[in-house]
Amino acid sequence: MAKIEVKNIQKEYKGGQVNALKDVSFECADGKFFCLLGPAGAGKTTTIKLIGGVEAVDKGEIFFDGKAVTDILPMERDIAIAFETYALYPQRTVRENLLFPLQAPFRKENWPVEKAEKRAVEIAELLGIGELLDRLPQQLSGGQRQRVALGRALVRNPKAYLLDEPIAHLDAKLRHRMRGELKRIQIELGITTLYTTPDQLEALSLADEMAVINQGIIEQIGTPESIYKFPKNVFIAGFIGDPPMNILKANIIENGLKLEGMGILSLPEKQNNALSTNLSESSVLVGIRPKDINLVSPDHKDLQAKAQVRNTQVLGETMVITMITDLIEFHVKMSSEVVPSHGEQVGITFDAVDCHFFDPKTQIRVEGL
Amino acid sequence: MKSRKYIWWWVSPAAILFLLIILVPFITALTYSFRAYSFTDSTAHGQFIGVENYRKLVFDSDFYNSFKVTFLYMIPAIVFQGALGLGMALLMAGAVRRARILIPIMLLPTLLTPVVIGLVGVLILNPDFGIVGQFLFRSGLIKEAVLGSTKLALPAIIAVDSYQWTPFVAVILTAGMLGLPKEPYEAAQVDGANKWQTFIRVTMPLLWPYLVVALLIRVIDAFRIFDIIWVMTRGGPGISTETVAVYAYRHTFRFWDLGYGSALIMVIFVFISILVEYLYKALQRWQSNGSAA
Repeated sequence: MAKIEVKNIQKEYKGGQVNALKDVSFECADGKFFCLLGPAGAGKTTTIKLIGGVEAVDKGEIFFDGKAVTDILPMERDIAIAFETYALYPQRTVRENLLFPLQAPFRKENWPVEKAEKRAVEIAELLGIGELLDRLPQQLSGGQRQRVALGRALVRNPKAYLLDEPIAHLDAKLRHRMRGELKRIQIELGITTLYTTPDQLEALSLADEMAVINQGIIEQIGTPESIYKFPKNVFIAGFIGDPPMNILKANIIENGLKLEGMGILSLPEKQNNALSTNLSESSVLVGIRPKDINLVSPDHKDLQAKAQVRNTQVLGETMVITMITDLIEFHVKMSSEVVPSHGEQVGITFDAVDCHFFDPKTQIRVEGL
Repeated sequence: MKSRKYIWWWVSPAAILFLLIILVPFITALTYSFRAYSFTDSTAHGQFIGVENYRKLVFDSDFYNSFKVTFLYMIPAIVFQGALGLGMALLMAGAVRRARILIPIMLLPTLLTPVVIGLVGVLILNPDFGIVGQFLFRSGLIKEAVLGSTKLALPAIIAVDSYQWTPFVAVILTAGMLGLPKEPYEAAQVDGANKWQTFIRVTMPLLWPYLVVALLIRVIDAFRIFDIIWVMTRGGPGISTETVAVYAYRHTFRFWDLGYGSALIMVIFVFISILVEYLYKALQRWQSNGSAA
């Protein structure tokens, strides 16, 4: 078990043509579940490979429990990686793949054959691949291979697990179950886990702490709750939450905001002043989560806008409605008890308390509101 | 239905070409093999004699010898070229990744005409003025000319053949290595595998299909090898280097016995087909059972 510290690491590929990691620093506390969340190409896999030591950093340092490991070999770092691309040993059965990490020359004595066998079977059962032990990787489906790759990491008790999108290729139901299992295993063993995912739901549900990474830069670090509640910039606001936060343009007027394509959102004087002093211009970006928008009758007196229903996606108990006004499109998420019909005119309202404000120039959250 | 009408028009060029260059000669040879047909024997003017040629072949001890020689040449040559080619590939892959130009350079010996290589082989093995021949002779390692010795002539041919074809095996394996995925190696690093385990567990299984292809090509070649041997020893001394192709050539184009020569070719053809099919399956099975512990 170890605390992992990453300090200002940088990595380029193809002789500088691809700047995979520009400047990445974060810390996963000992025994915690840390998620690295970011879209495809953000640098998640690169970060995993650098921490694992299978690729060398260009600049920066990595510490395990305060000890620099930047220059030591992957096997001496005592970590286990589940590769996104599986990286299973070809021509080896599932059993042999799972056993392999326990058969390393310097590890053999701790893992006598029987104990290792037992452990491999145990992990296979846990991951629901117990019947596949004697199959070869090429005889498995993508989801099964991914579970073998995950199993090969979990079979040991290393200082840290580095799991690179380990359940991305499973079907929805299995993914849900595996999320629960992973969290349970991690809490039980208390092994520091660094977990990457492009799926915000996975990150929010699993992480003790998480970082959002985009284009080789860490955008925000915090608990899932703090990142969800206080997204630091427009990118994070749009990336976290499903459907993403609506971002509306607005101009600051005397006692509130004039929303583009909508009506007026009145703000308390204090808040309005704060906005004016914090922003260089008189415009602002207003973020409002789909769940915080209410539908009312179009004749309601305190409307932010009248809008038309463009389409509705019913997701069981909830639904997502796409709405349009003359100028803009936005999403509303609500209970699906009454489904509005296509083209229906409705009024919408939302509360200033639920709004997030961003500087249109820097895209950064306006603090102190 | 309409499009079906013209189907033969579209297929016919390829079909005609196939008929002319493969099927016609093959069937001609097949019919010859059932005839007495010799330019040197006036009684053999192409009359049908049934399986007489094949009957003769069954009792032809020189024919069996040519098979034995073929295998005595093939097995060491393939083992040697496979091992050396693999070694070369392992050493070269890193360099080739950076400089692709190395591939055509590696292939230079393979690109040479076998006759030329054979002639060079004859020259350098000459005990009077060949560099290797002189060295072997003066150092007392050999007491007779290499190509004049029934024991040494075949190894000499294997050496010359390996000079030409090891690079070919190496290039196929190098190309294979350049295409191998990176991640299993990274996984092996993390899992703490040593060099040998990585080689056995990761490299060999991934490279195996390439090795199989390269070696199967060499097996088929072994039944065709003619030019190098003809130039270096003409199958001699005696019949000690007379492989099946040389033997068939001698009967067909030296003794001008086309009937018997054709029967020889047919047997060789059937034999290669069975051997390649069997080898291919065996090598595949070996691979899926795990090639090493």
